[in-house]
Amino acid sequence: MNKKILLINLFILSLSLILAIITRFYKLGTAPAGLYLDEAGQGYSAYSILKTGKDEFGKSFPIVFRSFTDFKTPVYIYLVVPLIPIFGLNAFTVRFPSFFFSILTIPILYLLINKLTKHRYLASLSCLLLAISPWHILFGRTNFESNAALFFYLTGLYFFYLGLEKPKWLIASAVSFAIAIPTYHSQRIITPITLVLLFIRYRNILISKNYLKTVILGLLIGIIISLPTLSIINTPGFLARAKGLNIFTSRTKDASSFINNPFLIKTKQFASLYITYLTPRNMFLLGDYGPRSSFPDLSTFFIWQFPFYIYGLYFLVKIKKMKELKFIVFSMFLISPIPAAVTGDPYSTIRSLPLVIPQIIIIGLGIIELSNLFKKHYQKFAILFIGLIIISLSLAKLYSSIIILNEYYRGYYWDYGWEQVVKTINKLDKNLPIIVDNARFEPYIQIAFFTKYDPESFQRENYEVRPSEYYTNMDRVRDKSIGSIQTRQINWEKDLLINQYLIGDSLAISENQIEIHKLFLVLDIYYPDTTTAYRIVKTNPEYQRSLSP
Amino acid sequence: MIRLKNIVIAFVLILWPLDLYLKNTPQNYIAYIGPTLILLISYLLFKKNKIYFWVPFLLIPFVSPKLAVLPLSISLFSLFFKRNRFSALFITASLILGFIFIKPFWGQTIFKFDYEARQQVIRNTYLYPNVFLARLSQNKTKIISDKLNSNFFAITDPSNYFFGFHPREGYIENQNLGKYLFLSLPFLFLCLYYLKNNKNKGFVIPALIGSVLVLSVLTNFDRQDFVLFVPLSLVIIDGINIFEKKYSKISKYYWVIFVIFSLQQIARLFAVKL
Repeated sequence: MNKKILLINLFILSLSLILAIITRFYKLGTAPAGLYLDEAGQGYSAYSILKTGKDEFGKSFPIVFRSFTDFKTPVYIYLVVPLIPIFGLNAFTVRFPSFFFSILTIPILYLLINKLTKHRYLASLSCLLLAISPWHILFGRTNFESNAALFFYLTGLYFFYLGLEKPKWLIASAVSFAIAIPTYHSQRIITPITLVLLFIRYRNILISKNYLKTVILGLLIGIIISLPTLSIINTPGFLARAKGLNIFTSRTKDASSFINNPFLIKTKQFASLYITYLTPRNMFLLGDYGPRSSFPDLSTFFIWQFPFYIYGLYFLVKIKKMKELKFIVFSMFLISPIPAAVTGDPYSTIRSLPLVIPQIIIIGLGIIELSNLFKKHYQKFAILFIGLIIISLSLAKLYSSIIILNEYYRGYYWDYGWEQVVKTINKLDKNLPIIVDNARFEPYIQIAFFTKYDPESFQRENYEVRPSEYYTNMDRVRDKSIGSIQTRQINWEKDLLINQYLIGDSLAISENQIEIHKLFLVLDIYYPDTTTAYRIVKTNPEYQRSLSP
Repeated sequence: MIRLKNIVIAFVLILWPLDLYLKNTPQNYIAYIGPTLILLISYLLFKKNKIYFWVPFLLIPFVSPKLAVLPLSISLFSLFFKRNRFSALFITASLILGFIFIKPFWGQTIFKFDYEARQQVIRNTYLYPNVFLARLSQNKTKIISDKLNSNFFAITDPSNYFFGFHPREGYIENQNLGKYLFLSLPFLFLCLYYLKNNKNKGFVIPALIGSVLVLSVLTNFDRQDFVLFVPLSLVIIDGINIFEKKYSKISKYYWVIFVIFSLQQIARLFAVKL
């Protein structure tokens, strides 16, 4: 191996890791400001497991977490548990596993590409592109399970290819794939299809004498790890997400007629959703439609990467060599959108996160092949110089979108303000009850999270279902008690007659209501864009009584 | 006996004009199909190897001033394929026409002053910690480049042609026409992949790229993009022929499925109209 090439690659790989850490770790826990209810839910479930061995509904070590009856995948929550004694229960802690696994994904990607192609430039350049990828950064800074799942999936792939040379690695591969499946919903589809494709492609090796025993052993270990998941596979809880979002389970009006034939309509709908994941308009311009799964003014890829994507794709289709890379890239390219496309949401980047890998590799390939057209030294130097400028501008763009614009415009979507609400609650008169309006939110979880409310008391005060019905009973109790705090809709007739605090957004408690009922305004909490987030008021029962005849 | 493939081609050709007709008044429809008919005439001349095949393009500014620079755009890209003694004449004539119709054209472009967008940029600049970063991230060129990118990616988006922009329809500015059946998508890619060997590339490529560039600078390209009907249909039909040659065994089944889906799509067009 040429020493110069090795040094350059080492430099690019180190740069990738440094940039990845900077872009993901800077203000981790404070940007996005606020803590979305799913993040708080996962954090409080982990806290509850740590303190009591049960989740907030009293179920011992659940296989999937009931939460808001959306039944969250378990791996991420269990990963948060050991972090709480170290970092405490806060936004940083619940986002840390995402950060950690997004960083680990980079060396795994390097190893995988290097294993498949021995093309070190492509491996290191792909890592650099992943390090500055807006898509990967977003899910590396926030509490989403998809990044951890992607890491286990890629590790499984890497170990599989190692296993083709030394069979014992196939067991490690089986373990990684088995962990990937319960880590995030979309892996329930992506991993099994990948395994089937890998088996078909390498069946001659895998069923050969030297491998068969290890393959069977790996399969058994994989099944044993998956047993808890398999034991609840038919419960409404396990199927909650799949059924609720699936376009094929939704009903069509007048389905008996030809023009509304569900098969024809759903096929077309699936095709349209599927295509969105592969088209430049969504990748380079629109990005994810969700305000929490995108950054303002930034798509999933930088617009300068567009020509390289097109060229890389063309090159990869045409090229005769790099067969293993071609197989993995196109497999991931075609499989990854499937779980996302069966849901009705357009271009859901969280559900299709594994797609970032083949698309990054394609862009990297496009950059390398186009730059190979320039042979002279000064041309190479110019390309390097332009590359550095582009990376600098991309970093500036990331800073602008993630730290400046997202913070200012997206506070509402990240449930900004509950930490301040709790800080204020702690200063209020402890003898008075507090009502938090829950007409438009599920504030109980953020309040429990930020007050670090004793999970045992929470389980006692907020009974929802019997543990035996945990995965099967889909009934919910929306109103909750957290000590003297109650979360329920404000009942203006009755609540005004009691001396207590009311907390709600500006719709629940308007300025007009404060004036009419002569409420005492304790505090207005504002979003970063200066609009009112929440309002804390104290009732005025004397005034109300003075009004009654 | 009518071959199934020809029925498929008929369905490819019928959907876009039909949907455009059903969703517009007859007067508007005539205005939109004008430039397309010109492109069709030009293509027929090209097919007969007439070196003056570009002459009809010069009529486009008279029919649709919004597309006044389309002849110029096409003429410049034509230079890459067929250069002859008429090329300079074509460019000069297109340039003159472009200048004559510059006013109505300019008023319909993204270069027109946009007060709202300017105010938004100014508001955003106050969010940054220093002037350099503010100017780098929020500036006047961003307004135009954002619009250009938005148009360009929308025009080159397969969802525009095969799914009426679903699942990201534009309800206000776009009619979200069902232009081609989504099962035509493989034909498009197939033809683009083998474009080098395409007999019509001297016409199709300049017409496609030239039109895409001009449409990208319009404030609203919806319905004006019907000029792409001729080059795109040629590409798809060529893709059908390649598909039949390369995959003759499965093509028959594919035609049947294609016809079923097409019939449903056409029935739905009429159902919506009624």
